[in-house]
Amino acid sequence: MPVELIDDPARWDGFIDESADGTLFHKWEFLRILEKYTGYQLFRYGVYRGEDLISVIPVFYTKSIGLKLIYSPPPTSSVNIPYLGFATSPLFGRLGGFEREECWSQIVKEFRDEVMKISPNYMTIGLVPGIRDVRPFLRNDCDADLMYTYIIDLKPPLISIWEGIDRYCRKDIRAAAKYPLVMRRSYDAYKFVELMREGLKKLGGTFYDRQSPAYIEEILRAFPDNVKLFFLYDGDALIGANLVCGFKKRCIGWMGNTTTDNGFNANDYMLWEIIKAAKQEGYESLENAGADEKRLNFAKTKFNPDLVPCFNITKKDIIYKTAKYANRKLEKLVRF
Amino acid sequence: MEVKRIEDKDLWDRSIETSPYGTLFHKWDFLKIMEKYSGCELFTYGIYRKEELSCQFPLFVKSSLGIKMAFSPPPGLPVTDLGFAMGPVYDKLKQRRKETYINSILDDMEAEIKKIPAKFVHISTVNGFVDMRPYKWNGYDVQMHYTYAIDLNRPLEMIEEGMDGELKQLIRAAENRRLSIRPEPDFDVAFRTMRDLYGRQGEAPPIAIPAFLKDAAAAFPDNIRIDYLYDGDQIVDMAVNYRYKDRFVLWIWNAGAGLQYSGYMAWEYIKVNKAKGLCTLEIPGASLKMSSILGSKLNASLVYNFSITKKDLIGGIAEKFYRNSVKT
Repeated sequence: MPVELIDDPARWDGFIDESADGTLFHKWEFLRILEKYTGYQLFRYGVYRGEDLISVIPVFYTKSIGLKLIYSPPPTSSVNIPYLGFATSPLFGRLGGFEREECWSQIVKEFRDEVMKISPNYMTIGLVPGIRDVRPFLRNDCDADLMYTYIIDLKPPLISIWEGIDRYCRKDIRAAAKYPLVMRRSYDAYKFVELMREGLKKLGGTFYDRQSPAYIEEILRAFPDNVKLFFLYDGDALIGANLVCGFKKRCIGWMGNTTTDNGFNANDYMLWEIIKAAKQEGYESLENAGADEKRLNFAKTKFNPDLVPCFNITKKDIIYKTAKYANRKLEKLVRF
Repeated sequence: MEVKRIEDKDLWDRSIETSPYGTLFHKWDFLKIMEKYSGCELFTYGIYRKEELSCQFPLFVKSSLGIKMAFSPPPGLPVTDLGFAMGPVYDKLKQRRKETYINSILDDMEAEIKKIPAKFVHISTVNGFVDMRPYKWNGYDVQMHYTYAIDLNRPLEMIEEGMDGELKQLIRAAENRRLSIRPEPDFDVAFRTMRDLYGRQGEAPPIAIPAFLKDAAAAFPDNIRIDYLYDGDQIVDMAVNYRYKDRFVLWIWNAGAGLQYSGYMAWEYIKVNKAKGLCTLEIPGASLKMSSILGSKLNASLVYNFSITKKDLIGGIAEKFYRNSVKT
């Protein structure tokens, strides 16, 4: 199975559009924006089965303090992308069990062999939630960290989704609806980032402090049909914001949900409005990421989502481990 | 929530029967057999929510180098999954209540484990229990394991259609050779045969303590069965299976006997157990490359369970010492 770099945007995007694992984050232009705002070098790999392009994976490469690092996606602190990694073709999905497993093993092995030519000290791949067979990675000396995400099924009738919501949350949403609240689409990434920084300032340096608002602005401009920023107003006052990313039948509540103190729960009201809008637009699921953050679970489970496992693959060599260890020790010394 | 030791076999078994996560291995007599052959002390915990038994948790405790270790299931025995058996209420809860519930149960169990006090804890959960976050947050290392599962609710033609072409051909050829599966009621004979069969393949039999399986088969004659596969008069393969609730599990099977024999046996089990109305046929060992060939050629789905481990430095040393001293 040869691995080759793909330099044809139309071919790449056509593949992502057809792939069951292809996300908006995989699209050619999205990757270009990630490359621009991280400064990392982007490689778009394709893995072939005979003449057929069977899988693709975008990879970001950088060097830091002499260490070679491979990411897919780049670190959350710089781009806030939940996952990226492999996308497979419809042909892969049609293969029988044995052929599919053999093919998946080969894809992983060939990719690993290719990427090892760079001799990375560290590699991390965040797999999309549908990919659960991590055996080939384990057989190739990688570690697989179990992660989770929350996904709300939008296929049932709206009334069933409403009834699934925690009753106190429903009460809060009904109470909020009595206020003069309006949800409006916005393109003001700077205002959004400012709101998020303010809302999350207790957590210290977050993605919103590290990345320029121009990153979000460029994504909003590049994908106006997919990425939508909504502001929630109470009269004239901006009280909440949510950045929603929709692609194919899946929608992700990507960023937003700052806490507000207005005597009512603006976050829950806004999420319910987004659920209604997403369902109306034909999306079948709404992902509400953050299941691995214990502090967020109580709020995120109000909407009765499914808990869905996903994996983060890592490979670290001894140099990386030693450097990390030394760095931790050094930080301790500096703090002391 | 309140944790209590349960000493009432009937209460324990009745609740395991109604738990969607209760397995044959969770049954009282099976646990007692594990206790006998592992040399561990068995603690049968029940976690109560008001008066209701919400969760059962068998734990095996052993000392090594004076250090206490806790297992579920105990090492050295061919039991792959055990751990928590949540009551029927759990699956009906909304996600928010589920999380509160499982967090509370784990906190209570952690308190019990601290009382032991175990320096090494290793638990292998049952299939289908997804949420391992509370363990991760409590410092456990979580590893995923796979099992192949065939949905027997589908029409037989559909199951056959999904199978790999080569396997179908091998099964057809096997059918023409008039292979037959017959049970072996005498465990001593079965184990001698197992030794011979695996010996011919240059391997040790997969059961280190034959008496464990003999006792288990005697205690659960309606559940556990040992089958031979005959080619004419010659025994060419064998399998130890168990059936519990709506699951049939190819528990101990011989990947080294060749795909034709194991494939034929699996196909026969699919047909028979589907006719009996069972819902799932499981083939453990999907994490191993050699064992995964049969499951993938049958186009089985992958289901998963988890092993969770927590140890400090002393617990880790004691565990290594203990595992080296038991035959696995």
